[in-house]
Amino acid sequence: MNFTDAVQDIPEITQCLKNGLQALGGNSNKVTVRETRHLKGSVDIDICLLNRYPNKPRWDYVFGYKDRVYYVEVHPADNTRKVREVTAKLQWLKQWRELSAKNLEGLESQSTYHWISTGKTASSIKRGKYLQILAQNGIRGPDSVLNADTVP
Amino acid sequence: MKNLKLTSLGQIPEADITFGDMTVFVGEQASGKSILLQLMKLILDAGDITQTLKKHGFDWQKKTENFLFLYLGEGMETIWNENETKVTVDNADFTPQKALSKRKKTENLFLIPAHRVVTLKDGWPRAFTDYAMSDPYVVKEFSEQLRLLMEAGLGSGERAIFPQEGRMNKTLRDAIARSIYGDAEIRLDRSGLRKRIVLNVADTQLPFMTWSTGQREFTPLLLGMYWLMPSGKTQKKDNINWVIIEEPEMGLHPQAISALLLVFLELLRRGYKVIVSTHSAQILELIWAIRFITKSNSGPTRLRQLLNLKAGTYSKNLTETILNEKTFKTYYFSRQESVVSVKDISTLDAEDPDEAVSDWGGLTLFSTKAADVVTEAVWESDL
Repeated sequence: MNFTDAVQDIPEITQCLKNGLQALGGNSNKVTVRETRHLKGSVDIDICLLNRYPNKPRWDYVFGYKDRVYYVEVHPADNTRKVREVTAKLQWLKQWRELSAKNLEGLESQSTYHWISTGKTASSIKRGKYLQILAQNGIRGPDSVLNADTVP
Repeated sequence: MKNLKLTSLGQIPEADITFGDMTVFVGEQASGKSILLQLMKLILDAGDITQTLKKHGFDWQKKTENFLFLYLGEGMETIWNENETKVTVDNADFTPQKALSKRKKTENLFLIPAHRVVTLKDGWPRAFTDYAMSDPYVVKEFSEQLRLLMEAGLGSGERAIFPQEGRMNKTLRDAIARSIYGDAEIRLDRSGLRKRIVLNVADTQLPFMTWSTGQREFTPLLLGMYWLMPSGKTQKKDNINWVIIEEPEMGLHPQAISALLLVFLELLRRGYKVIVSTHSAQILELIWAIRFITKSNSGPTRLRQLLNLKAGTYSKNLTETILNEKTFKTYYFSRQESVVSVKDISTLDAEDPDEAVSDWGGLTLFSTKAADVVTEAVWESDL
């Protein structure tokens, strides 16, 4: 199953699927892709699920590009406390997928998770325990932009 | 030996250790790691130890305390309290008295002690009897084994002692050469009145005491590896199943420690069980990475990437063996005042609420604290 088909089969977000990177709104300039024709669509998970899960730490976005799925959290990275906030969002995302978005969960082997920082990034986040916590959770970043073509 | 339990040994009131294929001990200075490692040697090699001591003329007059003096070194004989100390190995009781009556004389465990730099004097391994009676047995025995290795003719031909084709795998040899010895060769110098090991750098022979600290610390360890990894197709010493290396990182740059990590993995590949005591976070980083690479099923390519190994039969075999067959355990010897607790921190989970686990027995504590302090400082300056 490809990204578009997967999202269209998930009732909670199917109506939020947008073309290209449109769902990222003003944050779309934080993501670069070389071949826009290969974009498979995007979803603003945070806004889309606001009414259904108002008090949960909702993850921001997901988009499809080529045969990969990119989960993007745009979040401040100015101090180490933000690491826990982002990992909490990832944990929520994975729980939600397990309960309500099995199709996306099925694309896990093609998925990567990215933290894009707003404002400046505290270099201390990329040291010691904090770096290990991000690595253990499979979160890449924080970076100021995501270049989807260079993700290994 | 799969499990070791002990009560009241020196400053350790209680310990329960289950060994992996590789087991790592971390902890502050004087937290009992070395004592426990020497105890393991005694448990496995009592017959060989008593025979070796007798061979060199030592006599403990059938007194356990005297034997422990000779084995552990002066002042350490009191760590065993006959009324309080209890040790069980795989649920069977162990006592030094029982060990002394053992007839089995084969050696099962090879211990490379932390004091290894003292084993080479003027570029030649010291003999067992060259040490004081009060020096620990494990130092004397390691030194003697190196001496016998050299006496057997290592480096006596035209070939260098290191690097030497046929000794160790080429990948390992190249990594050690690159990070520890550069373009220099370790050679046997027979030009003087006494043989000695020298470092040959651009046709200049440097005596042992002029080498870098890391080279002096590593060379006895390298010779120990020669003993454990015989030349030719022999994978391992038949009778030796355990290898203990105390603080292998001493004097080494992180890049050289990376070469050392390969040495551990090669020992594991050859079928040895490895125990390392260390103050290096890099060694735990390897085990942490192996744990999560295994957990994520991402395969041997990632491990190869971490170790800077080129694709090939050897690296495939090494990484697959490590990821598919080997288990890893880590214990933290935590000293509070004069009492030590021994804790299993094998998950090395950076998110664990127990800081002993998440800070890897204190090894990443300062790095994390520095990150916290810098974050707070930057935060304040922004306000």
